[in-house]
Amino acid sequence: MLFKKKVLLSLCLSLVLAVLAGCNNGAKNESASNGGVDYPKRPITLVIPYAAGGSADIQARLVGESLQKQLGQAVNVVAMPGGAGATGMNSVKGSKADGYTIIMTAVGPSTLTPNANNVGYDVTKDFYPIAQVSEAPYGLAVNSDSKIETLEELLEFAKKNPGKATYGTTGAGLHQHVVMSDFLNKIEGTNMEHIPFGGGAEAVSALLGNHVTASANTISEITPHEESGSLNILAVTTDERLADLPDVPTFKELGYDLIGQGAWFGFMAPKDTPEEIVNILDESIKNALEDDTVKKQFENAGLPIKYLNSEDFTEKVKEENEKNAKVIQSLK
Amino acid sequence: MSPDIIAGLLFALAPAALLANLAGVALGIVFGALPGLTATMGLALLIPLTFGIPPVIAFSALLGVYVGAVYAGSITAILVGTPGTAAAAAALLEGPALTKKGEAKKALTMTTVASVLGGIFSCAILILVSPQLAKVALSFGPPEYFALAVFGLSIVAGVSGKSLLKGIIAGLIGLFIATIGMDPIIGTNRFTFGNPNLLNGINVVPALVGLFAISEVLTRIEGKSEQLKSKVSTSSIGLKASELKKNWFNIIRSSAIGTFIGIIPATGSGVASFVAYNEAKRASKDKEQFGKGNIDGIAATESANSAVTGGALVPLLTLGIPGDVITAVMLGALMIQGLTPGPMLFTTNGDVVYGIFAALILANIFTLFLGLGATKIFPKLLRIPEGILMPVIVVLCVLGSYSIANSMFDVLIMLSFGLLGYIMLKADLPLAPLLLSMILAPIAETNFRRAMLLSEQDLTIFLTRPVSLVILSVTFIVIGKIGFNEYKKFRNERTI
Repeated sequence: MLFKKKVLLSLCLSLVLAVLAGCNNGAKNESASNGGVDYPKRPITLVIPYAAGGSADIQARLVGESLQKQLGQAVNVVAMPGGAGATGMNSVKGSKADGYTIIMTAVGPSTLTPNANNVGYDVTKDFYPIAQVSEAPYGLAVNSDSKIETLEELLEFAKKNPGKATYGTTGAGLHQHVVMSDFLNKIEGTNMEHIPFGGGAEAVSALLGNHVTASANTISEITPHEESGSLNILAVTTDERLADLPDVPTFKELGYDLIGQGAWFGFMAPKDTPEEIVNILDESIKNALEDDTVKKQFENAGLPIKYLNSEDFTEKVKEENEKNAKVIQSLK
Repeated sequence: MSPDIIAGLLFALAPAALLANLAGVALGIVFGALPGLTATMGLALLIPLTFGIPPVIAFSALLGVYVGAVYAGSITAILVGTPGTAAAAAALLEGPALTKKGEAKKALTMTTVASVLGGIFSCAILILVSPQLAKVALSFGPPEYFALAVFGLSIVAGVSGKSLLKGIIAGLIGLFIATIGMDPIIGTNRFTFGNPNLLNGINVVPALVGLFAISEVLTRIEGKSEQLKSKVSTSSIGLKASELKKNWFNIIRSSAIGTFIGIIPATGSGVASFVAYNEAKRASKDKEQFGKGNIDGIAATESANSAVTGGALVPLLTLGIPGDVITAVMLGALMIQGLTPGPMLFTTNGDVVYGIFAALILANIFTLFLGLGATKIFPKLLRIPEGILMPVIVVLCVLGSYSIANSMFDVLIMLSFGLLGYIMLKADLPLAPLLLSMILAPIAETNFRRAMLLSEQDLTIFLTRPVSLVILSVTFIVIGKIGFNEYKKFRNERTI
């Protein structure tokens, strides 16, 4: 009886091992050989500084899946939320710069958190930007009950009702807040009170319930309500008008320069990662974003793909980091 | 019946959808029951698998996990005093005491039945009146949230145990802990001591796991806690039909509370079960029995926390607004499917919406069967010698709190709260008020300050808005009554 049990147990164990081994062989073992480096030879850890299940997680998984196919190694997404993104960023900063630990970060953890708090990293000094993946534009919306239909009318309302006009954002010191407060600071005599909410959904519901005058949100959060007629979107943050909202002007064409165009996400590696490895990753990310299935899934999720290569992304991060730092200092 | 409803039913009853639903519920029960593993993690794990499959099958699995996990969080709370999720914390008020009386099976059966009834009640509300209720959710602005949170804080009195003063002290400790992290309005760092891990404050789940589970283990090590082992033989006492019948109104009231709190974004199931418990206690004739292992309390907390599931889907499906982390994850899953939740969803994808409704009801039915099966098996856990069970619990707590954010810092938080919980138990301070104020204080603080910004620092904003005025008046009366009772007690004690 005991013997039988042992046989059964060892059978089970060997079965598990066999399955595990099979999984390993499943990933094709053809490492890319450009640039003379043999990379990747083992699974890559892709950190996100956000909780599992959110939009960062979805993007990391969609791109990660394609990277896995292209590079022949598993890409494991590890969610490290907390510390306003600092926990994940610090973890990658402290990892070996060998391309096996990279991060898919965003505008907040890289250019806002370190400027507002002492968190022990500087995105321009401690990270090597690999590629930008997406950028979700913002829109400034009002409740349609307010009868406000243009940005000028909103600003006029704010001038006439100092203290009464309010705008909601996703949270204090977050990108929407930084971009909007910079925009409003440049306009004389307009005083709109900022009301920070706990995320985009709370801000939209406060606007739908008429608790604030206006709200700055990611476009995908407000378009369904524009379609149903409950919200009016007054302006969008992109340079060009959006295909889905052809009648909504951009801030730019109305004559306002913004310091940010939207919530961007992109890959970064620790600073000293070899250039060859960054190039391999950059190239693979570019391929991933040109894949039709990936494109379709990004579109469905309301995440506009906006690829930037390592060089352009590095430049952008540097520029926005400087501008955002100034605004954050003025907010204090 | 409209063709959409029939199409939806067919989607949800397809074999693949049924199987996905059943597997989802089973996975949810495992995630809910293990301390530290949460429903959100279960969902996040499943989402990449749903990318390529039809929406109703995907949602059958996701809703299964959701319903299963919310239900099962209470199982470990009742059996070993270790809540699996924040929503299950209220089950601690009666659950462990029932287990110590040898009535674990009865408690678990009630948990299952009440959960399923609560879940189905909220489904019915979701299906019948969600567009109207969505408007109610929107009428909640900062002043109303503040009023609701203050009302919630008044429950501290109901869960304080013997001494109101000690309950308030525990509540105040919770209030203090809730201030750690970035200031929600202007972003100043509070009590972070330069540690970036503290910027977002103390994570509730590891704190909760430490507070209740580790402190319990430490107490058991001392050998002073009552032995569970000897009582197992009698743990086969089941739920009597009369006990269920006696609680029918209690369950309906609690389900209504749960559904309502679920509908209002950003409140959560933890609050719902505490409110329902407090109302059940207030309505009960023998209040003295509460806190000592009262099955009515379990009926209230469990039906309320499961009723949150249907409620939370109201703003998600009708407005595209997720009320909590779990529904936010579901929003992402819906969008990947090419569905945009919100006002247009019912007209553009009516069949899918009805499919989701049907899947939610099915998930509750599966929970009933799997749950009733589980009530036979789970009490056997108590037969494991404490010398083995306790270390296993500690290991699970460490794993669970690590896996929430893949961070050792959360493990440290969990252990520190374990120590805090132990000290509080030594000082005879109740743990529930601390947790309650940790959950409610951020809602109260942020919304008070938002309201002040909106009204240009005018306090009358709380009195000029009807909903807020009503909630605050009720709170005022409740607090007045508690104060009066305390005074009476104090006088009686002095005359004796």
